[in-house]
Amino acid sequence: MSDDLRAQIGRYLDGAATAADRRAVEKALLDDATARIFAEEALLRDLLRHAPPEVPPAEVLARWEAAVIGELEGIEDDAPGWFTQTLTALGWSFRGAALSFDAGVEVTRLSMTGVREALPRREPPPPLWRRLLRWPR
Amino acid sequence: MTDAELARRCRQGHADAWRLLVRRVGPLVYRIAVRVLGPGAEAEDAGQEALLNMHRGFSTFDPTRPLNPWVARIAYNTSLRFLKRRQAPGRAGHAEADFSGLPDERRSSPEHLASQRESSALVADALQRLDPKDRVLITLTYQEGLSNAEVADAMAMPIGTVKTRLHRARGTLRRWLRPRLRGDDV
Repeated sequence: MSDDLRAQIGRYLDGAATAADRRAVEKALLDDATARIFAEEALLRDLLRHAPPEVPPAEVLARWEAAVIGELEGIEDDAPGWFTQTLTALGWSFRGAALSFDAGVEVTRLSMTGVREALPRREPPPPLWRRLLRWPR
Repeated sequence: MTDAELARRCRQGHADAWRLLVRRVGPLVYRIAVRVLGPGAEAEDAGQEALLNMHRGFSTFDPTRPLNPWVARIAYNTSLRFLKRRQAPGRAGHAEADFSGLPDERRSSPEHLASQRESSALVADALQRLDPKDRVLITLTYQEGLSNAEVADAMAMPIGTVKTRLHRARGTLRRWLRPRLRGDDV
């Protein structure tokens, strides 16, 4: 019974009690034992709410701030839009120039050596031992 | 500046907004890290890691929702990862946590409690002896003022579990703090 009453009082103090629960608790408070439990529960919550909070030292906060800002600026420096676009454009222009250069070199080679020499050569003749083996008896 | 405005400026990459955000949520992050890991360099590292995780994942934050539960979830998850790393096999030397989560009978004896003069010191002492999850639950509920639903969201727990654990943690604290709660001489 005491546990039920304590739970009911807890809900009352946490603002989670129904209207009926609230009336029941307020009526039960006339009893000394209930009033003592109520006082205990209220004091416990009060102590917890006002427990000394851990406060981060100023140098810790400053270090955290510097870490976040450092990462923020790092990300910004890594990939600004204009920089990436310029690099991409430069890359494509270099690729185009390289392809044109390759084509020019190939055309020059063909014109200097002649188309016939540029064609793949015929198969070399088979070795002598193979030709001897095929000699008609 | 409201949390929503601050979040909007942070998304736009304003360094001053990020400075303000760190100043605003830093204490919450620190409290959660200290509650999970105990005070010290490890909690400070976990806090920094949590803030960096927050920065990296800021695009997932919904600015129509409150900021603190979202930050609390990141801080809690990051601190738990640090705790698991500390408890990993081969790191037994670091597993000597200040807070085992189990009550130390000597320290929780009425004599010991009675020797403490300040109720704030009593509460801090009692909180430190709770299980790390319960410590965070109590901190988020009573010190940060989050609702049960927000705590459930932050700690990835069903709301029923939050209520049950809170009830149990309060019962433990009540037992440890009984001399103070009953107004006995302390």
